[in-house]
Amino acid sequence: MTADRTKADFSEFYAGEFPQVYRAAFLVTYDRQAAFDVAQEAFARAFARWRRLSREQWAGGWVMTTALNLAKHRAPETPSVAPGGVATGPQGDRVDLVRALRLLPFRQRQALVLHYVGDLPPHAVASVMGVSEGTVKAHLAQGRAALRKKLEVSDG
Amino acid sequence: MDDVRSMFDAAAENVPVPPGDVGAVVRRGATRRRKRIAAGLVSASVILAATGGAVAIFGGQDARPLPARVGDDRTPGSRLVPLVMRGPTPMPVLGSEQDRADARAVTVAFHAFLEGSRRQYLFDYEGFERQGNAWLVRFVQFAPPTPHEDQLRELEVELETAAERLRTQRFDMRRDAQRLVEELRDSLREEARELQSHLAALRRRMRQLEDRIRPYARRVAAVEADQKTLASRRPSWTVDLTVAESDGMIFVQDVTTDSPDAASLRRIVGHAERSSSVDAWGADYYDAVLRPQEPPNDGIGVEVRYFWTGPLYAPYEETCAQQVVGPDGKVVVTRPPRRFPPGGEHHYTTSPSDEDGRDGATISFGFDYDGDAADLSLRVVCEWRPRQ
Repeated sequence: MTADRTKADFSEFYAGEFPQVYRAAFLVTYDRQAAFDVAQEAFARAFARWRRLSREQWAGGWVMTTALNLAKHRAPETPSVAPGGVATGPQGDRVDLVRALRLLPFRQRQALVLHYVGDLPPHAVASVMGVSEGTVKAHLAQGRAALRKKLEVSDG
Repeated sequence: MDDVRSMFDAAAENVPVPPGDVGAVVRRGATRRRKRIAAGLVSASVILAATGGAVAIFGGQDARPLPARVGDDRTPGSRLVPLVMRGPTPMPVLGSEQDRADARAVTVAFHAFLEGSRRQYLFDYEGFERQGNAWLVRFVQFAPPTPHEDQLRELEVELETAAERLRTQRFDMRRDAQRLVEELRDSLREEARELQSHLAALRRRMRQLEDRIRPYARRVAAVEADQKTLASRRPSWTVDLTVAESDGMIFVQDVTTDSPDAASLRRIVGHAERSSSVDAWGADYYDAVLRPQEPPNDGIGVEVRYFWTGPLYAPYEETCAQQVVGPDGKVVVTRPPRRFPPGGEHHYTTSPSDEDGRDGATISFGFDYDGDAADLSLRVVCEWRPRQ
């Protein structure tokens, strides 16, 4: 594969996967710059391995896992709430789930995003988070319950 | 859990995505790749000695000798300066303008060197300065990996990608298996629901059929009860006697009957035959007419005529009752028995003799009936007993 062809293939891959990876990183970090940096670094690492990754169908999953693994080091531990007690979305509109996510403890937020946005099974989430699978399932259950409660309150 | 997943999908869609920068990614990735291939960084100060148009490179903190030729002139406008290997001991470089020009030429050559032979001899040029009679060119040198190290790094990359692939395959298999189990379970549940629904419909149909059959069953039971009742009743039968006269005696020559007890009746008659005396006699035949009565009477009129072949004589008297039977076999009307020969309270008239001159008797009566006389029939029930 020539250098130009390599870049063209990777650019196409990047264009297709970047939005999803960025969104997942944002839901973990809730920081646009941090999410962008994390996504870019994940793709850079993918390009360093592109000769092999380009042949694999799970290349997108590899980048997602790498990005979310990096995101855990960039995400704030404590929930971030704007003045007034209501979290606002990136465009200033009230986004219920995003708001509710921000109010969750980091571990629950991370587990939920890795599972539902990163589409990772519990054991893979455990590997990324460095905890046991049972702990991940507990975070998922507690996170889901907390989300439902917060969203019911926001709807009511 | 589908509601939570759908919420996440919707939330992710609502996150605005900034424009990416694939160029920055490629540059960062390329650098990372170079560093991955190298064994590590060796910051080195390389002393260049320009001698006769050639440049010698001595380098590295460990003063390893470097190969003489390592690249090509891919960079446009560059030229390669032949490199001559010397010993590890640095040699002075002339500090003239020409030296400086040579140093720049060396720099250019080194850049060409960098672009063309990235894999083996990797340098990041930092700059150069003059030290006495020598030009000190600083590079961040990536020490060329040994063949084994290179293979090892390649293997590490392969292992990592293989492990990731295996994790993904396991994940896919587990997810597919789970999905298959869920589909099978849903399919079985659906089938069970359909079977239960079908069973309920069959039961309803059965109940409907039972409801429809019930009246017929009752009627069947009623008919069977009637049959039992009928069977338990005393039967009536018709008797036709054929009587002959001989020597002034009346003999019954033949009797026909529909009675189930014909044998016993025949015995009585037979006894009379064998006896020297006439024990019995009876009408040898009768006929009957049923027709609507003439106004002002309504209903049906019955006329029964009995005929005997011989004179009326018998120590027995015959008593006959007449029954009019409807189309359904039920008795419409019964007339009380009448005795023959005349005498007593019975009523009869001497009918005109038939064409053979036989005497007879006629019983007439009428009864109310709304149907058609043609649907009716007459039954005669007779008994014989000794005259009192």
